[in-house]
Amino acid sequence: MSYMQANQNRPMGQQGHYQQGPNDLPMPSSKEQTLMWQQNSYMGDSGIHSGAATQVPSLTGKEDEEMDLFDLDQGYGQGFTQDQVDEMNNQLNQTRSQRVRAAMFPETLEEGIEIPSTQFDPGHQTAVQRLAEPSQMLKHAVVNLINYQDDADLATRAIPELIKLLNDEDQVVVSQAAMMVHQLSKKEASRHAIMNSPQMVAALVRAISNSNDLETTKGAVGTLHKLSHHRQGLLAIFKSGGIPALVKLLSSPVESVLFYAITTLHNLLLHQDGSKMAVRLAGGLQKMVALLQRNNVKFLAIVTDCLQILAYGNQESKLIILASQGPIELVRIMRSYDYEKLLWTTSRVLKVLSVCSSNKPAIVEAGGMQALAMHLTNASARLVQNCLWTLRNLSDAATKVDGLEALLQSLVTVLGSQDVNVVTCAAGILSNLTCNNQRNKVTVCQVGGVDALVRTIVNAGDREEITEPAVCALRHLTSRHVESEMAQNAVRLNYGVQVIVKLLNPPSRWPLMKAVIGLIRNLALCPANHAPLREHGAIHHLVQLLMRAFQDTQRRASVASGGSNQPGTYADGVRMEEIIEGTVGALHILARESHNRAIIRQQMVVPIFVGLLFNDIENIQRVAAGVLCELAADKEGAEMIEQEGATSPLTELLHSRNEGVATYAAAVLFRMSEDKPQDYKKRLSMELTNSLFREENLWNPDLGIGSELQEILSPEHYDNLYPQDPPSVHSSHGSRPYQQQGYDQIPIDMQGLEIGSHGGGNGSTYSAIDAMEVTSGEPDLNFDGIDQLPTPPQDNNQVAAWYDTDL
Amino acid sequence: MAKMAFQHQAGTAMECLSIPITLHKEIDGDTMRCGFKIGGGIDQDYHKSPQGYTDNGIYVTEVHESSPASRSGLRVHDKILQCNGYDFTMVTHKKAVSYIKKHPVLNLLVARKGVTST
Repeated sequence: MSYMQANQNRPMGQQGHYQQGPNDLPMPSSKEQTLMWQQNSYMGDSGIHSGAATQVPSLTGKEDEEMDLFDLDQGYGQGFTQDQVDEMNNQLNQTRSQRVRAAMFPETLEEGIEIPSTQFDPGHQTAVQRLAEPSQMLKHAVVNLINYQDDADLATRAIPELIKLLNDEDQVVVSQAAMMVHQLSKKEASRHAIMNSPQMVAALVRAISNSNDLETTKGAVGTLHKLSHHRQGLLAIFKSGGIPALVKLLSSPVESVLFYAITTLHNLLLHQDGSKMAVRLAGGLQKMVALLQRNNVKFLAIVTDCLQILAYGNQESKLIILASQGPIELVRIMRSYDYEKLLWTTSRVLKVLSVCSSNKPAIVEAGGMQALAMHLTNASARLVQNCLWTLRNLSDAATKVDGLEALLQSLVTVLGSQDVNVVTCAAGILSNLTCNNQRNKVTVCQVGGVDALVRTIVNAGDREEITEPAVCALRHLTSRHVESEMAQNAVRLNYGVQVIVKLLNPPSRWPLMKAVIGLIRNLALCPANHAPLREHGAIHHLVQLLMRAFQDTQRRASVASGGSNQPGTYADGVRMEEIIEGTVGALHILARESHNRAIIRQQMVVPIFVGLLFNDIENIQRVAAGVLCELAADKEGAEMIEQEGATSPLTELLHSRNEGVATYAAAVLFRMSEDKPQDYKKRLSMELTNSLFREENLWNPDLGIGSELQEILSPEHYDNLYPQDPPSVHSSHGSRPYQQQGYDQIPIDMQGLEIGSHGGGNGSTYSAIDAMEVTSGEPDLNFDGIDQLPTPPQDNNQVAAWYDTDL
Repeated sequence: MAKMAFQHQAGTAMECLSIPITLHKEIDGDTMRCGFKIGGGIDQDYHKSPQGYTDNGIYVTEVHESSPASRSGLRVHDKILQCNGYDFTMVTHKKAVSYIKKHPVLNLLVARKGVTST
């Protein structure tokens, strides 16, 4: 499997060949050489170096004197006479050149000749010994250079002849020539000669295209494979039209040919500009998808990486992969293998495909969600992250999928991860999968998802990329399923209320606040939450937000009627109308409790509620009538409402085609009439009967009976109204389209999350993937004061919104 | 054919029934008042219209009471196809506004759901 290393581990341009050269030669390691030299020591060392331990400073620099000095210190104790010493010195001087020769050219020594060594201390090498190894290396380098030149010369001379042979009519000749070229290409120098000859590369490509002979094909494609490790080689292959020929070989039944072809193509795709388009045009995608059925994991890893490079940022490629049944095969690979690199490359293809609206359902249908879920606990961080990105991209198309229990369980587990990207993705996926899916909601609640989400929100601080999806998930979990009440209680029991209410403050931005408002509304459905919500100031915050949003829409309306074209304004993709609908809806639920009603009455918002009865948007009319209906339960409230002149708009709303609006309006009017004279009640009763009787059996014509009205307006009735609601205020949420539907939103389609795949240009390398950048930059607004809310943008031209002009 | 009037792709040929309407503006000194609002145009995103319009046409989003528009018979949600002979099925919002403002009398052709089509 050397082709694997050659392709993936070695970056282009790094010339590993020269480094390998010397190692090929039979050269002993430096340690062995040292040992050898020590065995050869016959006599005591001169002592220059071994005596270093005595720290004697060299005064003269003359070897003999220095040695004498040394001998004076130690030598005399051994009893050598001056003559003996002189003789030894003499002998050493005479053999010095021999020692040097033995160190540099050991092969020149005649056998049996003994050279006295000057090594004195076996622990220390002499200068000559230390010189031995580098001098040997230098010698080998020179030898290699000479050989290299020989190879290059040889190849240069042989190439014209080989080209001729490759073009020969006789297939046997061609085959022999191809094998010879392949042999040559294994040597560095001749390889360069081959790639420098366009005619040679063209002849090889031609041999591949025309020949039916296996040996020819093998030799030629083997050569191209060798060339593909060099930038120059890649260019030569590309220019000679090698890509269509290589793509053709992807159908070869011979494994070695197939491997050479795919790795060569992989190298081209990685490093040669223009290759992607050429492979696509040659029909490479279809063939590669077909190859996914093979079972060699390393081979599959290369094929999938090729597919990823080709599909990244290219919609047409994605559709071709889809048409070739790619999603099914890729999902099968995710299910069947455990080779990390293959799983990782495959998850990257799936990630790229998962942003394509056509592939998305196909992957989901092939069981992609479940297959990706299998790897969320893998030790490989890059695999987990790619699986999570893919799952998040798919999750909005998978809200109707069954059998996601294991996935949901894993997601709840990874919410506890230390990695911000992992937590962000997990929260986003949970948010989408719990949207309008009762079974998933119940599962997440049962595996402790509410506790984990609350903890996640607490730990996330003001990282909105985490808090927003986590709050959305909690909002989904706290409404419209059998465990919702448990979830509403669990948020409180995990000390979540305080943290959640706090998110209504700056620096939270509008999308997060919108989600929090919806969550607070759901939490208020649980009577036990009323006191904690009130104590942490939820009502105050909601009222403030409402006033801010209301003033904004009013100001815009007045500007618009002044004649100038003012587009509907979005703040971070949220329309102020949505904030109005959300806050009033939450206050509506909170107003079921009498203490809360008292606080709401003090906040001077009744005029706004009454004003909202005139709003164009039906859902806003409904929540406004709803909150007024609750407030009218107290005498003080009913009087305030009447003073604000609500009777006339409410009477008008009795005729609304929206059943909810009409019902609430009727209820407010009814409650306001409690202490009115009898004939007024009678007239009202007539009016209510006339307007509401059309609603078949919903209304008892005898509205004089208060208890029945009470029953109709019981809390259960309010809740049932929600699912019937048509989508109300539309908003665009930056790059992620949101569509609001009641309080359970349509999942977010996370388009454009082809993250971290390539930096463009030459495409994927096996380099680390960049962390996903989710931060959307600075908010365009300053949040200085703690009470200051983000100002809605005044002139947001980025969104082609809908607006109208008064004429 | 009936459906096309309200799901029209700007720039393609279309044929539908229409209602001719003549609107005499109220003239008050320099200003002329029609008494209706229009929304839409090829530069707007009809998906975001609260009314749920289904194409990029110019729509009457409001008719003020006892205004020239209401007297002329113009109704809310009418789709303006032509104004003084000028095609309104492929105009920007701004262009539409400027054409409507140009003359004291408007000769409009409108399509109306349930009348010119079902």
